[in-house]
Amino acid sequence: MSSSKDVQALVDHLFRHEAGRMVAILTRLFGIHNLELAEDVLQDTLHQALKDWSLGSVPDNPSGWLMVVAKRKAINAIRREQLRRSFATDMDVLLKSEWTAVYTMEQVFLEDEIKDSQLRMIFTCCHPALPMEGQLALTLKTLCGFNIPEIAAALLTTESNINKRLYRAKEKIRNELIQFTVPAGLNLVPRLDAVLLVIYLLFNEGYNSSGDNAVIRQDLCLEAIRLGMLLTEKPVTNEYPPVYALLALLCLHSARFEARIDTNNSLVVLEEQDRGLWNKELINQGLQFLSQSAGGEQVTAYHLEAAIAAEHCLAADFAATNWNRIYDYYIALERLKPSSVIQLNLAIVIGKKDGPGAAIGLLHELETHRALEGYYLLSAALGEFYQQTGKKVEANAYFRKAQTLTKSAAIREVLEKKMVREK
Amino acid sequence: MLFGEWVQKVLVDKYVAGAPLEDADAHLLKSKTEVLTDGPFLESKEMISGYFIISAGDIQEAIELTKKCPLLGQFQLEVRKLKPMAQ
Repeated sequence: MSSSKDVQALVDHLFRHEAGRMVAILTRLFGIHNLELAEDVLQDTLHQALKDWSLGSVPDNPSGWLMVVAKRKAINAIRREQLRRSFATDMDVLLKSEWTAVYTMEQVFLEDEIKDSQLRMIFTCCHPALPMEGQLALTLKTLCGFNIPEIAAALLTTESNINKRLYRAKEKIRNELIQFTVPAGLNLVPRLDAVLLVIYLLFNEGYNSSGDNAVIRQDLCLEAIRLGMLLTEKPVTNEYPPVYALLALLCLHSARFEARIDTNNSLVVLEEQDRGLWNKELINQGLQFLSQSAGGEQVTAYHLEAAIAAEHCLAADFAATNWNRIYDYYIALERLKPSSVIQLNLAIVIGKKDGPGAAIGLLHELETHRALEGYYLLSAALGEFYQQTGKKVEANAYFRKAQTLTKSAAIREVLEKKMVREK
Repeated sequence: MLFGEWVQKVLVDKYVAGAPLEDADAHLLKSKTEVLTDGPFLESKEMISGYFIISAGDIQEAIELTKKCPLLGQFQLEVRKLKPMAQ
């Protein structure tokens, strides 16, 4: 008999890895309007695993076991529900006929078809008709296997809010008759852009958010990369260069993940990071994606942001950073999507390039920008540059202000260290 | 070729419904009171093992499609039209 605690841990682990695949397959069979039925069958399968494995032993191939049981439960669900429901339009008749039900189901469980179903799921969860917050929550739930408390922690809101968002998103899918398909033709590019945006936002939420749950945040980043990789595995979506630009960006940022947190679990700023801790494999992977992304005619923000991240990764140390090239990329980025946040970054780069005096003037101008009101990074940057010019009083005042503007304890701690630092 | 493959690749969208029939537990109703169980009751050479309904343009197309059915060889297949009910 296996210890039930071990079994619980194994099921949790498998859940994360298999839930997205299984829900995608089951939704392919049942139709997106029956997403809840798919989720029920999945839950039922996991309960079965928990029960059987605690009483007996864990099978040699737990993932395979889960698939077999899910398949059996899916057949039972179809037999039970066939008079009340219609399933996926293109299979409904076949699933309801005993001659063909099992065969039809087997086809959907084939490896290549699983990927196809997952791709359909990505496009459905990231459908532009759904509100963005619903897209994020639904993607985490159905594709990444996050549970409600985890989604709430990841998106920095309450569980009841997440439940509402999921409910509304599912209702919208049903009411608007959103199809469980991979868009084709002229529709593909805008829909793919919507998918890339969700992946980008999920990653940002993990990488830059003020949430203090480090495990969840790292998981978010890994899931974002995994979703991006899925797009490279199927024809059509793997021919779109921005997919690779985004992946390059994600890999190059992730490469620094370990070095951003020291042994005391505190944040380490770029300047002080041990570059030996940067993940070489991810850097290489990122650079490879970046070169693959060069195929198209358009330069996207993902291309430019990845190029900036690559400059940082390629510099041997902070002093060797090529600020001139980074400046050029930021100028291009600002032209592509003008925003106060990019201007803030640009001001910081100018400070590194031309000295703190140049930056301080620009940063004060930005203080009047509505979008940056209450943004701790603006105050932190002013603190930093005042400190570099030796103006301790101004510097500390801005660091203090930045501290009051962030919810993250880790960031407050970094700012505290900056204040006591001798320059 | 499997039956499912025939349905998906040869019939494409022309399959309507169907099921194999259980061999045991048949009930023959000869009148309102007389129910004979333990069938099936037909001679084994003409036993019905299952049915399926397909939507073909005419009987000739139905025959052509059925000729490609993988069940042939194991079973004899009888192709018949569904008779419309009189109004």
